[in-house]
Amino acid sequence: MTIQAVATRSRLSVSTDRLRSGTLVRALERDFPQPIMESGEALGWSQPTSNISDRLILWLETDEWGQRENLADLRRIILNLCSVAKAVKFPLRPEIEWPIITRILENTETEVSPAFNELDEETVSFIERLSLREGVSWLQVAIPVFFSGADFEIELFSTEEDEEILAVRVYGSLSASAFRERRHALYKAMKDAGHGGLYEVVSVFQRRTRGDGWQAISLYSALSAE
Amino acid sequence: MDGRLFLCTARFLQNNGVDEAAYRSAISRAYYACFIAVRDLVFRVCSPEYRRKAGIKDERGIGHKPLREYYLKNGTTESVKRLRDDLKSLYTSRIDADYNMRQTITKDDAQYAIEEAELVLQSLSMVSEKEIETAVNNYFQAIYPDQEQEQ
Repeated sequence: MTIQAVATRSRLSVSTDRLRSGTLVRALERDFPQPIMESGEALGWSQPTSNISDRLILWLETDEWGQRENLADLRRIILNLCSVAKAVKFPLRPEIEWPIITRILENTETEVSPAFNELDEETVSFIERLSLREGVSWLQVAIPVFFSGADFEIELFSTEEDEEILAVRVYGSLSASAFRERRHALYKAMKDAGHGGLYEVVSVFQRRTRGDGWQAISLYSALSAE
Repeated sequence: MDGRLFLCTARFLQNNGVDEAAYRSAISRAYYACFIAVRDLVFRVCSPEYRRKAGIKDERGIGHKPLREYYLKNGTTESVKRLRDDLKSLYTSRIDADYNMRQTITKDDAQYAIEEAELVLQSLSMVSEKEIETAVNNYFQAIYPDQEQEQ
């Protein structure tokens, strides 16, 4: 189980890997790519665990707070999003350790690579061999930003021609043209952020999620008035 | 045969497929429709001298990786670079569909791959032969710097 909360335009990313051990992931003062969104909008999304991935994502896009870099507000919003997810979306999911999630989100002192430990050994070995750890950490934050909070998997593919590709399987429902445009934007941001080495080996493609995989949470109308 | 016809096969498999194997095959055919169209164009614009030096006897001498990472990668225009990225994405999706049986592939996945392949072929039709030729020549000029290309 992984929980991930991304707040863009604020340079705040809060996510966790190895939730049971209570690891906190936070990256402050980093330049994250800009999301594709309307100015002033704030949207929350959640994806329940599915047969595809044992992952819960709480997705946050924010503009107004981010521009003010009011991190305390952002943190509170993420906590509120958790509360709504707990009460409305997953009331009967005892395997989700909500108190731990809350404590992790409240305590934002540790900084490690987001969800790096989710990668399998072969993929991690490849990333280390090519010194791509920093780039992959960037990618793990960037993918939900560029693909509207989409769940994803990163896996090393070996091809018939002995080519090694760092495949990124994004689970989403974007149209082919929209996904393609966002992928190009992601690649451009990747190169602009100095991760040209990652660009050489990465390949992002989309798979459809289950029909019931995504549900919007109506949470922000009141907060937007603040 | 025009390799683009594989896209019709992909559509047939997607529309009439009764099992996951058909959907996986549709993704594979969608990729090959694009791969062969691009590959044949690259072969066509490659000079006989460079073909000879690189040991490329016919279109089949251009593989998946060389097509993207040697030729298209040396393009100077955004459209050629995007073509390389698009082809790589379809290729990776095809590798996933062909070899990864742990992953579930659905009719929707096949439909998506076909739509993306259609877009790629559409983009290809708007890329000039000159752009592709420049990309190919850039590559060969880099590996054979002292070689004057025969006119």
